[in-house]
Amino acid sequence: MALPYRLRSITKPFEPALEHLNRCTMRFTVQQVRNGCRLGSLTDLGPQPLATPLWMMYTLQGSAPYLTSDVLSKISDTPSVMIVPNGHVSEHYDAIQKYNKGIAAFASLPEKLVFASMQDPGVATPTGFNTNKGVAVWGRPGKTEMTVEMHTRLTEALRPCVYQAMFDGDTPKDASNKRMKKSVDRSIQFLDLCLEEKKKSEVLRDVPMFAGIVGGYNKYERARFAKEVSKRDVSGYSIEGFHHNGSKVEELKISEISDLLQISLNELSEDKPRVFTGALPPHSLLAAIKLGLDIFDLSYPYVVGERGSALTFNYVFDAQTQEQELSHSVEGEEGPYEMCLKHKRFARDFGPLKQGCECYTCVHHSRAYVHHLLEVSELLAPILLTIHNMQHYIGFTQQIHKCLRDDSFDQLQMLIESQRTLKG
Amino acid sequence: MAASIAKRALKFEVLAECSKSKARTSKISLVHATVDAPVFMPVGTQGTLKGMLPEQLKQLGCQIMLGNTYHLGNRPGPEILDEVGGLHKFMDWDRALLTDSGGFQMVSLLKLAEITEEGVEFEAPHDGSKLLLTPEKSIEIQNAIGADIIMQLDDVVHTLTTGHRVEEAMHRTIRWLDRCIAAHKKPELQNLFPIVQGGLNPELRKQCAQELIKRDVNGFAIGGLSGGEEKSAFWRMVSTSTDVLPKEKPRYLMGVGFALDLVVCVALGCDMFDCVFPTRTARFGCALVSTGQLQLKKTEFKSDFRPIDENCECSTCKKYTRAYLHTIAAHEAVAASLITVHNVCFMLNLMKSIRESILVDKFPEFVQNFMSVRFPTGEYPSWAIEALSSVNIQLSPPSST
Repeated sequence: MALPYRLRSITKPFEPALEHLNRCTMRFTVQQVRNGCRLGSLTDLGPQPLATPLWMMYTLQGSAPYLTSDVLSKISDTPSVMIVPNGHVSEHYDAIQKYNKGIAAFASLPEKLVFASMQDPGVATPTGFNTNKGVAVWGRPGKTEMTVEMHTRLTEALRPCVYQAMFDGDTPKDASNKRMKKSVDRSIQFLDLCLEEKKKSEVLRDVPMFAGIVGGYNKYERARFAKEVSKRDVSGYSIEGFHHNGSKVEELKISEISDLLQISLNELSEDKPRVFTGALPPHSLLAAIKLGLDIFDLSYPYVVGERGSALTFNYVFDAQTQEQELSHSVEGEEGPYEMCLKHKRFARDFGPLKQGCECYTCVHHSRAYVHHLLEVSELLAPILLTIHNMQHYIGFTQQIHKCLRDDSFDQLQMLIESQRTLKG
Repeated sequence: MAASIAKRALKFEVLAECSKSKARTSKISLVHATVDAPVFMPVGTQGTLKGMLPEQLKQLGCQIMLGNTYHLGNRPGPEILDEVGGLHKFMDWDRALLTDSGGFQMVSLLKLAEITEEGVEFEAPHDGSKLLLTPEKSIEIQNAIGADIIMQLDDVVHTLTTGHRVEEAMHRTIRWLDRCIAAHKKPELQNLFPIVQGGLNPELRKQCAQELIKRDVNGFAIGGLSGGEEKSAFWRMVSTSTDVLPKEKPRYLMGVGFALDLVVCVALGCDMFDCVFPTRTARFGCALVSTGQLQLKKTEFKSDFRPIDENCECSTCKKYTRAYLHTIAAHEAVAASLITVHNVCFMLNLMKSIRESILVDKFPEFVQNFMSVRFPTGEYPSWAIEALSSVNIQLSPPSST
């Protein structure tokens, strides 16, 4: 696939930054560490401090999946930060740059802060396309090979509050040591170039940049890369190289990466935020928090909705509802935390998606209706599922915060684990 | 007795009539909503207007929408709809609904449909078994769906058919109407509308309408048009039909929904319209505006930071630019929702302007203005000139200012 020609041809620096642009240096404070779990606060990014663990809204081309900004407002407490993968928007660099107010405003979500990421956490990233010159990012037109130059120009146009430096995280579990070494070599090179570009860029000079922490499944490479990063001036870390995004991340065993992750973290500063993107099911998310990771995204509810499922797992300590929800049998590709509304058993089920759920979908619509919409492939089906799944997962994240504060995180982990083993 | 019961399910009140043309504005009071007419009814084929929450439709001021009996009869099916208490409850729509008879879909979607006196025989799309849609069956399904207005099963022939078949279909349509009336179980809640058929033959149209108006019903539909016939024949059939249909009952022109056709057919005395066009075209990235259409995929909108329509009050125009819509049009699901919201809003606003103009007896001025904006060079389609002139609306060239 050809490069977006505009991106290639642009060499002149971005016009002087606008007055209203947030010129800030992010500050991160870890307020509590308990059992590995960190409670923290990100300040000076947006108008309000952001509490960590933090979840970023998943987006497709700048919008919440399926939801107009109008419908998105029916979900309460949506994240302040949205993740915008480069590949979604690189094709439209021209217009976004000309618009001059960043991707959030361009996509009519001006109140959201933007985290500009290399890859899309919700969709599997094709492997084997990165080169010494650039990283393949993916969007509607297919592959775009991002060079550091293009990455810088695009990031300037997006006006993120935080962005990822370029990295090569294409290290499948079975990758050769040579491949993992290459990923590290390249990522160091990309990082240095990004740091240089950042210094030169009026727009990005004061925007925090996070380094993608790579090294794949190789202890030596993990350590080597992290050591290099620790010598450089970055504002945070994005843990990469453990998975290739999309629904496969649901199978990722956090226990299998924890030692490797620890090797990376050992070399890195403790007082910088750590991002881990990907569709993490509840038990993995909790495990990841326990490893000291701080920032996640909402691609999991998206991935679940894409297979016609509604999240139904319990995160509140209430035995009664728990039993009720667990009583159904698991069918087909349904995971342990969801019910797949494609199944015939819902055709006459006029109850809400989840008993007691107060989301817009559950207040207004039934399982039978969503089942029908799925049956006939109507666009309203993913809209209603997205509303429910996002709201449900946001509720879960709020419960996580509560449990971290009142020291009941282990209890929450047990509650989640019991549902996973009962149904999984 | 039937008459007094039927009256409760629909009250029709003409508020004003155009002093030149046959246009009128009215209130149609139904069980679930009072509908301001002339009205455009968006089509929610399978129990949803594609890409919109019912609540969003309400916010746009939509008072009545359509469902399709053929689709709803297949899925979710009448049993489930009966169980839940009708489509209103099933889809969470508390305003008015109208359903067609299912016959049209059968003939247009299913190549193997065969029409006999008994009904429409067709092969089930999933297993190929022979099924029969009779007038009784159609009404049974429509009773289960529970729409405020339901349609008789009619014998639909392609608009370009001529000769004996058209006449046969017209007579059969009348016979089927009587079977529908007999089968209708909820006249106190649902209004059964007969359908004027007769192809492009004015004599048959007249004859059909004259026969239908003898029945005790609360409104009438004009069917069998907008199937690719010559526009000059189309408007004449509409006008012939409205001439026969009583003034004190609503007239529904089926399947008509291009803005120009709506304006002309309001002048010819129609009150209700439906069409998939505004919502279908939205999904292909086409936005409706007073000058025509914007194909948002076109590169000309790449850096166009204006809304679709600066004067539009819909949630899409208040927040979204053409440039952003250009980046997502026709491939990102959210674009379908955004443009659908706008297009429905456009159609509802068009009808609102029509109603307001009739109310103050300025409908001819409205038509002139509408035509001038849409055809700034003054090249009005000849059929529209003829049709409007037949109801005393003479178009002048657009003013140069």
